[in-house]
Amino acid sequence: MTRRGVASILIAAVLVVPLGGQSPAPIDRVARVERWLSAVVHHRIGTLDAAAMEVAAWPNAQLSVLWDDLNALTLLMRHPDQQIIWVPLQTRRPEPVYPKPQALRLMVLACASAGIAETDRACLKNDVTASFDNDLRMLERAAVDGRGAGADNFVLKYGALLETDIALLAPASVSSVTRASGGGAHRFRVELTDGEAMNPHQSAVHWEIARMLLDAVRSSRTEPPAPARDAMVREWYIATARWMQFNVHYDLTHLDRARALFPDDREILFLSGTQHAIYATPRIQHALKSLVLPPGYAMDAKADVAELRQARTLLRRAVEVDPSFAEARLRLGRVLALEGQFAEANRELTVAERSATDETNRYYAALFLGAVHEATGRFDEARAAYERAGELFPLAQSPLAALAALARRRGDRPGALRAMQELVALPPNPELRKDPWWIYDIWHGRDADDRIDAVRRLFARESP
Amino acid sequence: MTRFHAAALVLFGAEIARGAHGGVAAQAPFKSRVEAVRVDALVTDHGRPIRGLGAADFEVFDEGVPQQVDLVSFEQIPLNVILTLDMSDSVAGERLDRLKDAGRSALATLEQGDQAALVTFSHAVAVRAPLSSDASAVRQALDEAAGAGETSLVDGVFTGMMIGESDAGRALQIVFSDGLDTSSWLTPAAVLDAAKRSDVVVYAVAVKSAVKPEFLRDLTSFSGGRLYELEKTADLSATFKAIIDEFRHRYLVSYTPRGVAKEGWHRLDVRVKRKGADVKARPGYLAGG
Repeated sequence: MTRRGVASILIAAVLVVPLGGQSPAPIDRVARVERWLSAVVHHRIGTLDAAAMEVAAWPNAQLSVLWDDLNALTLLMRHPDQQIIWVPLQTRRPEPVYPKPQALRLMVLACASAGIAETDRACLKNDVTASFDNDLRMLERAAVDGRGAGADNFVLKYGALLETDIALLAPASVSSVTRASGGGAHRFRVELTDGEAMNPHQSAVHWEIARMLLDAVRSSRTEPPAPARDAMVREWYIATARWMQFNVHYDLTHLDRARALFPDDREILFLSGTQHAIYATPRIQHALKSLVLPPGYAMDAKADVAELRQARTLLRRAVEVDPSFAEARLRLGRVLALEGQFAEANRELTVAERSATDETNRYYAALFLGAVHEATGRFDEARAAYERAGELFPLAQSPLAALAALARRRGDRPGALRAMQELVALPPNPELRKDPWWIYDIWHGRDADDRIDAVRRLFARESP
Repeated sequence: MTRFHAAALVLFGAEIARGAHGGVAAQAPFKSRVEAVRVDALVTDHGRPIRGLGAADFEVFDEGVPQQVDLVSFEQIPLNVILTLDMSDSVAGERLDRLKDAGRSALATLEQGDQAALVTFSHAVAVRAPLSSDASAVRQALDEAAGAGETSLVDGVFTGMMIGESDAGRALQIVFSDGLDTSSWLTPAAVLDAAKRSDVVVYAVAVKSAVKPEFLRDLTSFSGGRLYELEKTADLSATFKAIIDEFRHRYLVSYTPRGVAKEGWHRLDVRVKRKGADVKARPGYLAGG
């Protein structure tokens, strides 16, 4: 059992940038939006098909600008007659983002995307359907139909799922780190291997695009966006956050947005808490110390004390929302123990061990309880807890090491050697070993793929 | 969930493998022994070992209380050398080859009566060869050793230390790691506590990086050993040989504590009554439960 199937960890960074900088010519931008809409129409959800591959192949810089243009599209879908403007830092005078022909074409795309080409006054006035090609006609029909997405959410939800499939299934697209400037969304990532940070790079902003699209989801055509009232959006955040943690692709921004939308959701609180707890682990903290960031960037992982505090707050809220949430109690207990709050840790872990429904979580609870008892001088209780953990997973090295260290600490050298004897007898090949401690940081994401599949099934369809 | 399914299959295999290893535990050569205070001391004059000292040349102060030195030995006591080697992801290719070469070099220096053991660690700690005077068996285990994964440095060091304690011989643990701990269950504090109770001397070799190897620094300091931070692993073999050479030139000073508490931390001060003599020994020990 390896601790993780991949050797590297990715952490998203918070990007601190002013608007400005170079971007592709406007004609390319609107044409790219049109290509993207075609991909949404043709993409088969849950696959890395030709449509997804086309979008996945676009350079990161162009995807960054696409984020801006899709943002403009979502605004025009609600108000097709509006003009998209921006305010350059240099002049501080409002300017149209798109020249008139491109602005008009973007409005056509918005009318098709929202399924309002034949109902909205501005769309009718501009006779947008006259310039529809086959893909736009398919898009408009799908948008009117909604295809399970509701209202004008077809492009938003199917587009988000296209971007999700690319993020999950396509090989990572990386580029060298550029100066922290330029509009659009940016994603800076760093790989952590064996406790060291390396290979800082910019990566594609598929998650950012998906989040932005889902932010525009609304429950009816006449209402403003209300993603927090949408069950699919909630499920999407939970499933993707679980996937990220299980696959060691850490992104606090994702969870922050989820929590802003669903502040009292037990699972989102839980996943937010586990993410902060993971950031407090030595493998992340060690790597942070070796990381040199380019100017203008800041990591979203802080010092371990701050991360543990945040983890405790979030996990405690998860338990308050659902007192029967045993796995949240387990994780909360561990965090409390690491903070030295042993009395409360003892309470949470005791409940967690009693109510855990699977062996692995019972193992964690027993192991952590052992540490709490040991820290508070209750050595007999500590030994009993470690032994319970060892009985659940006899090939796990952690309870044996804990028992040996405990005996050594008590001056019981023969006892230490007895525990060590069992450790010596473990098979040397790590693949033949079984210590859940090694996968503690991913175990809570074990059903990620099932959750992702469940979201996809809501929208599974043949290509139009 | 491909990865988890893969892990589950591995776990199933592990249950079968455990049965196959059922006989190993019974053969593990652990013996208990009577507690005594032994202090390994390196005595040098301008970096060169001073030879020929006797018990009368030493002064040992336990918590400031002068002690009667019972025995001083030099060179003639066989060594137990425990190689504790990092075999995580970062040790691969040429670095792994050099590490194995260094291990072989260390084993080649063993003399009549010496014993050696091999512990490797990635996320899993593996005792590849228990303490044995058969250096060729340890060498074979080293040749066959391979690893991948994260780094359980702290768990690995503790295991090596316990192997050192399992035999009455004079124990030297040589630790190599090119990274920082990422997956141990034991905390550095717990293993430092064990080191303060142990007479195993730990020498550690780390590869220089942006992050200081604080655990190895503290560990070697508490055990009276030494930390080497190398720029490159090309020097590993020479370093391992130098460690054993230096250890052979250490005196083993033993005494029965008198006039001090039985439990708790005991500050030690080892001196040599000779001008210019520099003594390197562990700064203290932890007694009792």
